[in-house]
Amino acid sequence: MEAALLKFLDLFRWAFTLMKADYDQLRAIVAIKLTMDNRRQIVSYRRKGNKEPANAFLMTLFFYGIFGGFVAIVIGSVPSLMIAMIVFFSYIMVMIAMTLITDFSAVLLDTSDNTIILPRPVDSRTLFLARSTHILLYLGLLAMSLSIFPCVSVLVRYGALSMIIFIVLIGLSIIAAVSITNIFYLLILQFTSEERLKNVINYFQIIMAVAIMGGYQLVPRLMGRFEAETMLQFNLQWWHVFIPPVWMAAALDTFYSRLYSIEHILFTVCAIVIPLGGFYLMNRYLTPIFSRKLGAMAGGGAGEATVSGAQRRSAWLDRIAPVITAGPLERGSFELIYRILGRDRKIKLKLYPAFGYVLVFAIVFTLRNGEDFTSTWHNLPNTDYHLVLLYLTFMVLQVALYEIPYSDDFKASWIYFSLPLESPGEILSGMLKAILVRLFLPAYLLVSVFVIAVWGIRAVDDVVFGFLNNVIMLQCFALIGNRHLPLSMAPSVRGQSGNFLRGILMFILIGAIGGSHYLITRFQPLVLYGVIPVQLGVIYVLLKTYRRTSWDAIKY
Amino acid sequence: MDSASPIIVVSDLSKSYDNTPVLKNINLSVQPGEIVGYIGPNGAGKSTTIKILTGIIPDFEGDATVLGYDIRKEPLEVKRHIGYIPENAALYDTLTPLEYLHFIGQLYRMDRVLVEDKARELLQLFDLSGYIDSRMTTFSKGMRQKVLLIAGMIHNPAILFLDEPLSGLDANAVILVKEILAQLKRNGKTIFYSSHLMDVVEKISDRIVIINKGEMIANGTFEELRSQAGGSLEHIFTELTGNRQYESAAGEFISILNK
Repeated sequence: MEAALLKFLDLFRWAFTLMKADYDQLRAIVAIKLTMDNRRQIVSYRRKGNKEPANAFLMTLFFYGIFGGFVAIVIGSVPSLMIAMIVFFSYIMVMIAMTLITDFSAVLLDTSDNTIILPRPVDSRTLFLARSTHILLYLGLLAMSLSIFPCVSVLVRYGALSMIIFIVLIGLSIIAAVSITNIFYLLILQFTSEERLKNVINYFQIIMAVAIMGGYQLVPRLMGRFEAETMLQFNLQWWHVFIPPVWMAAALDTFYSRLYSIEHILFTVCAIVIPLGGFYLMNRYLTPIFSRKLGAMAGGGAGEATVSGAQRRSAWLDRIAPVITAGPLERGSFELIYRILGRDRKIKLKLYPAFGYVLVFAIVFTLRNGEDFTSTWHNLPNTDYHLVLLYLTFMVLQVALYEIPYSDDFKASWIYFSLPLESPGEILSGMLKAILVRLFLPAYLLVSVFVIAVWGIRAVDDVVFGFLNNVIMLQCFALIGNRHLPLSMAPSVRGQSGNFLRGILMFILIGAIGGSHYLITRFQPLVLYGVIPVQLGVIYVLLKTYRRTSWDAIKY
Repeated sequence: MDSASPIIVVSDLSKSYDNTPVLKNINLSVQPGEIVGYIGPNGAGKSTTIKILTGIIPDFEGDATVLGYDIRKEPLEVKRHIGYIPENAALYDTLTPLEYLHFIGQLYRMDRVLVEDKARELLQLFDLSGYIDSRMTTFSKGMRQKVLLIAGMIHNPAILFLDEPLSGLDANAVILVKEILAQLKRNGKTIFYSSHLMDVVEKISDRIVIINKGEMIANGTFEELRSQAGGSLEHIFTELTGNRQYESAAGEFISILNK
């Protein structure tokens, strides 16, 4: 695939020369990057045993192809060309922009090869274009697999000429997305630090993870609610000029339907001029910013004395830590995990989407019986869905418990093994408490406020009861599962096989506990108050047991 | 030697990150064929100076000329004729040494066959011929450093910038590198390097430049420096960088531990 991609790249030699890049150097950089991508995948494949397919990228392409199939059906069945195209171009542009935000920033702002490439006679434009090309090749492949079925659909329904224009427009969409994202990044970089940009990107990534999950769950449900006649006709309005997919759709419509209204021509011009103009602007004016920033990052990261980002001491943490932990060891572990959960971007990226999933599932569960939204909303206080909401929040805990042993800094865990620790269980219990306080408590509080607002004061006992049950479930999982010290395992050694079983177990446990909660509320609400002391006792005993975890029980 | 015009001229060089000054008004000139040892405490600005002179950091105040080219106006010309060996063993370790050197050669537009020949012979000199086609992920720090040394010199640069070139090397390799530097000098190359190893700097440098907190505090031959402060370079260094009380600092360290 590497060789084929480079051959393909050679076709555009003239374009790179036109952009004043040194094509031979650019090709060498792209080639070396592709080789390394390839090897990295193979390396991680070997480490993981045979759990993860080596060609994860090919799998992604395959799934994008299937998604494309659905869009192809839309194109084939929706009467209006405009609407079908708006759906398609929105889809492809969102996918590309999201991929760019999640992956492109890392490639573009990569400082790891500063000391390798910057001292060589490579000008910044060539380097910038080499990095852009590297990611464009991947984007091109993604876009291709996404649009292969839609292309066929357009060919069959609208003819060969339309398909050719369609393909050109896809190319322009990619260029538009790349230029706009790039300009966006470089402008942000101009005004803020790289560190802050990384945080912004981190939150984008989290939102994207939730959006994909949510889209997957919600869009099919919402689709059914559209009135059929809105799909027949699309009226162009002047303000559509702010929506890029509409340009592309209008451009194709102009050629196919031979509509030469002012709007159509204006939008067609936008479709052609804005991507190319954006790319020109980026190449002409923004590469100097890029190279200056890269140099600056090169300096900052190399151990010279610039200490930045001093963290404020948290008075809140100082106050709660002694209250909820016992002993210095547990407190140390608690404070460490508490801070890392709030700072480590990789961990945030893995854990924070769970909050979004809870929201998505909450909506899915409440909307599932096909009624329209307002009547469901009005009926809500008469149902017992609040129990579903309270127990769904457990997902946050479960994901956190599963992820917390893994860290890129796993080597730092030598500290546990070099210290004279008699009871590693205290580290584990500190970790558990940190997860509860830092991640679960805020999420549960939010859900509780919502529940009490909707269901009224009668739900308060459910909230308390549910909270204690969540804690017990967390403890059960911690006790049943493999016990690893926090942040002590390399992410690459994680096995995938237990996932399914763990999921099943979680649903059985939630079902059993949530179910009994439901039965109690339904028939003997007063019993709740009797059970609460029992729960507290159980929590105490389980915590004691967990704290007594010995070295033999720890897996690493 | 003073008849030749200087090959590196730095005047009023200053640099700051986010309003924190890192270099303050550095003035320096280096003659062709000189070995300059550039020393200073951690965070003094050594790496920053080298990164500016090699064109990695384009943003700075003052002027810097290398080989007669203004580093700001013609960075590519400068980069074509210098070699740089970074301190933190940064290289693409999923590649093999030969692949890596091929890549570097391409960036200098060198002939592929020539690169291959040179690479093979140089790797052999460094006892790496058995690893020529193995990925560098498994290499020790010393092995990586050797590959970096070759990568920095494969295009036969006129000036060599080395940032901690001896870190991680075993004793044999240190002797080899020191000898290579000495012979490079005999071939008329200019060498500018930073190091923490005082005895090495003392032995091989024609001139020693000491910076502290971004300011140049000494510049001269070892003899000249000795006439100022006396003793070994280590002694001169601690004397000049203001850490004279290291003995009492160490004592205090112990007494705090005993609390």
